[in-house]
Amino acid sequence: MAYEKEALAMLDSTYRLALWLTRREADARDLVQETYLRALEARETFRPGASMRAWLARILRNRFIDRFRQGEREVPWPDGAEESKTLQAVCDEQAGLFGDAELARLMSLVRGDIERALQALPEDHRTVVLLCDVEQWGWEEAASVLGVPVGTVKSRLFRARRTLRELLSEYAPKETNVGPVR
Amino acid sequence: MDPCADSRFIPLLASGELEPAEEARVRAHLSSCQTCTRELAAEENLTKRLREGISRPAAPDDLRAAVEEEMRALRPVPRRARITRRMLFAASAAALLILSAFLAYRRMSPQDPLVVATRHAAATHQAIDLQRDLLQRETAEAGKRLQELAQRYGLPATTAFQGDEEVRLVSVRQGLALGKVSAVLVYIDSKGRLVTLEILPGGDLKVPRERTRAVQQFRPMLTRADQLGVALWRQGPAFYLLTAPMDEEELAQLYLKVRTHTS
Repeated sequence: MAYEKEALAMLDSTYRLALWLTRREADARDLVQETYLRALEARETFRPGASMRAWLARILRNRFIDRFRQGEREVPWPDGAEESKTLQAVCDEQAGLFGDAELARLMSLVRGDIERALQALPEDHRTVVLLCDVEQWGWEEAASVLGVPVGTVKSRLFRARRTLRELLSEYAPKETNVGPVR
Repeated sequence: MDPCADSRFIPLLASGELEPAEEARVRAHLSSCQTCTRELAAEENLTKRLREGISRPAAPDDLRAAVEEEMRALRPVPRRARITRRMLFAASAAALLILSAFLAYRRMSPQDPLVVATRHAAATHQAIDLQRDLLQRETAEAGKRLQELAQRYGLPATTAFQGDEEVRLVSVRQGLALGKVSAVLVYIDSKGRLVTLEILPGGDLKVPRERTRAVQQFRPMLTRADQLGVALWRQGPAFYLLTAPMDEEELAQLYLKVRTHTS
């Protein structure tokens, strides 16, 4: 029961990772349910005292790689407005809860760039940014999710952030050079 | 902006990774270097955007409810309850019918039918395992029972795996699963382990593709219930539940044997 309770307490972060990896809410829901199913089946291999959220995230990521990367369903990051309702809609729904539609719209515009940049990263770099910067997990936890040494997490994060900055500067509106008035 | 050799330390400074002495040196350097000052501002700006500009939605309530339901369905039966149940099963073969009827009733609840089927398969296996002494007496009649079940209920029992040298068919029984009459083929493997294969009319019971696992060219759902491995799959008009006290790898091998035989 304690195991189940602890696992359930990590549902939000597990769901967010699923949403970021799959990019579609329906797929994220499936992946989360599958993750919990596997986590329950494998409860005896969970080391007491270990990070539950990292344990779940690792199961989830491995399932994601199995299911989505092996060509079962490769979902492109939606570029068009229609498709971008997926992840964006979930985020906006929550921003809209504040009741200020204009604020929600502005927040969504600012978010657009950073989220687009994040989605442009390869999956392993994206996951490391999500875990370390967005969710603010420790190095050790991120390393256990990815199954790599802490040093590798650090170097991936460094490279991912470098790419993000380059992408964000590309997305930023360029200053218009009007030229001299004759 | 002129390049600066010290700018490589800036990401480390921003993430608090520098040793105190090194950090003090880089901070002192910042006051005289515009390049590194801008670099630090850019790093801090990125961190701020990632922390504040990315939405962090909570899991929807209905997903939470579904996961909680999943947990309830797969909760291990407490040891004392298991012993009590075993005693009941051992008392009479009729108890199997009562349990099956109970499980069939539970189909009415909003539980995932595949989870219900899995637990039913495990319960059937446990019940039969407690009646091993009866099985030998049933072996001679197994072929006849197969014919009967196939004829009376249209179950594809006669084309099912009828055992081999490693996995011997010892009994065939009529069961009741998810409100339908089923055929339960009972085998003993070379290690003395009991294996059950329950065949029931498929109806609307389906295994969603995302819950299946690839076992060569087939995709059964492999799962566990009460320390038992359960493979579920649909084949033609019927639904199959293969249950054995095996890990996933061994069960997948057995599944292949059973599946390729019946196909």
